Amino acid sequence: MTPQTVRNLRLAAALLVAALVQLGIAPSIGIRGVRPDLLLSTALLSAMFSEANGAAALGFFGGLIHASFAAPSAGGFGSLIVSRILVCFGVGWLEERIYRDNGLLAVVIVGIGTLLTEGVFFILSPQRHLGHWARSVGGTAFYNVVLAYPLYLLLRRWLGPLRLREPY
Amino acid sequence: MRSETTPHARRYWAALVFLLLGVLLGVWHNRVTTHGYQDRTVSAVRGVVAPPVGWMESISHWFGRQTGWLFRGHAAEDENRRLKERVAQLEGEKAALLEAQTNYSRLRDDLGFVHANTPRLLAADITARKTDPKFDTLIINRGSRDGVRINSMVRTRNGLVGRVFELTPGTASVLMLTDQKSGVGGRVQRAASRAVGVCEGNNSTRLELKYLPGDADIKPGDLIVTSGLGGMFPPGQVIGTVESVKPDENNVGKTAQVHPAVEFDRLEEVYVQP
Repeated sequence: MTPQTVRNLRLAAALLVAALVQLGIAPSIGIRGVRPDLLLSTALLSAMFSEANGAAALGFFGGLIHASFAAPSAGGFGSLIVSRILVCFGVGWLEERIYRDNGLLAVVIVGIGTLLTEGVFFILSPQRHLGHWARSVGGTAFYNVVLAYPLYLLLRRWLGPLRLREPY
Repeated sequence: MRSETTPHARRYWAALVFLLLGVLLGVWHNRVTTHGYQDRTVSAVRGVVAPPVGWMESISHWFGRQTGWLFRGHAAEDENRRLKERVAQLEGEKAALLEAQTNYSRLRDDLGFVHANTPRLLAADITARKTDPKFDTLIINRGSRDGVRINSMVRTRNGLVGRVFELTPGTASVLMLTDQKSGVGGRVQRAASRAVGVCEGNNSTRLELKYLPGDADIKPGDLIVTSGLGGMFPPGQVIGTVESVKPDENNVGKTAQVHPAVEFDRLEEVYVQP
C-alpha cells in the first residue's frame, strides 16, 4: 500500500471513531446544555491533512453519518451533508495553498469552520428559534475550539505530519 | 477563459460528485420520508454504526452511574429525602385514586360505555441521544420490525417523551417534547380548570404552554397532561408541572412555563406505544 492509501485509511478510521464518540459519549459530557460536535471537529481537522477532493469526501461521509443519526424531523438531511462538504472542501482547498503545520491554526480552523458549517446549514435549512439556534451553535463552536488542540495533536500523531508531499 | 476553468473542474471533479451526491441524497431522503417510507441509506448507515454506538452509550451510562456520586453526593442525598416524602404522599393519593377508579368503572358499566383495551407498551433502549446539539432527538433500538410506526408515542414511567418521526427496521428516531419543532396539545389536569393550550419545545429544559385563553385558570404547581386534541397522543399523558404563568406577547392570552415530568438528559430506557 502507498503512504497515501495508508493515510486515507487512517483518516477514515479517525472519522469513524469520532462518530462513535460523538454519538455514544458526547451527549454525556455537555456542560450547561452545551455539547461538542466531535464529528465535525474531526472532519475539519482531518480536512487539514487532505487535499481538496479528499476533504470533500471526509465532509460527505461525516455529514452522512451525522445526518443519519441527527437529521431533524422535517428536512435538513441534505443540508447537513452539503454544509459539511462545502466547508471541509474549503479547508482542504486552503491546505493546498497556504497551510503550515500549526496547532494554533487548527484551533482557528475548527472555530471558524464550525460557525461556517452551521451558517451554511442555517441558510439551506432555516431554524424556527434564531436565538436558541445561535446560542447552541455558539456554545458548540466554543466547546469545539477548547477540544481542537488536543484533537489536533491526536490526529497528528495518528496520521503523521500535515503534508505528505514536499513543501512548495 | 475556458482553458482556465476546465482544469479546475477536472481537478475537483471528485468534490463536485460528492456535492451532487449530497444534494441527491437530501432530496431522496425528504421524498421517501414525506411519503412515510424508510430511507435505505439511513438504514444502512445506522445498521453499521448503531451497534457500537449502543455499546458506547451503555459504557458511558455505567461509568456515569459509578462516578455520579462524586459530582452529585449531597444533591443525591437531598433528592432521596425529597423522593421518600413524595412517595409517602403518593401512596395516600394512590389509595384514593383506586377507590375513585373502582367507582368510575362501576358507573361506566352501569351507563353501558365500552371499555378501551390497555395499549401494549414496548420497552426500548436508547442508542444515541441528542446526537446534534441543535436538535432534541433520540435514537432507540426498536424499529419497524418491532411494530413501531411513524408518530408512535414514546414515554417513560414519569411522563411523555415525544413521538417517532423516522424509522428503519431496527431503529427509530424520536422527536422529544423539548425540540423546537415539537408541539402537543396540553390541558390543565385540575378539575376546576381544564384549560387547554399547545405545549411547545424550544430546545431548552423547559416547555411553553401557549395559546391559553386570557381568563384561563392556571397557576404554578398545576399538572399538565395531553389533551388528546389533534389525535397524535392519547389524552391524560403527563407532560409536566407549571412553573410560572405570564401574559402572552400580545397581552391577549397567557403562556405558562412548564417543567417536564421527564428528565430528558438522564433518559436510559423508554416505552413505545406502537
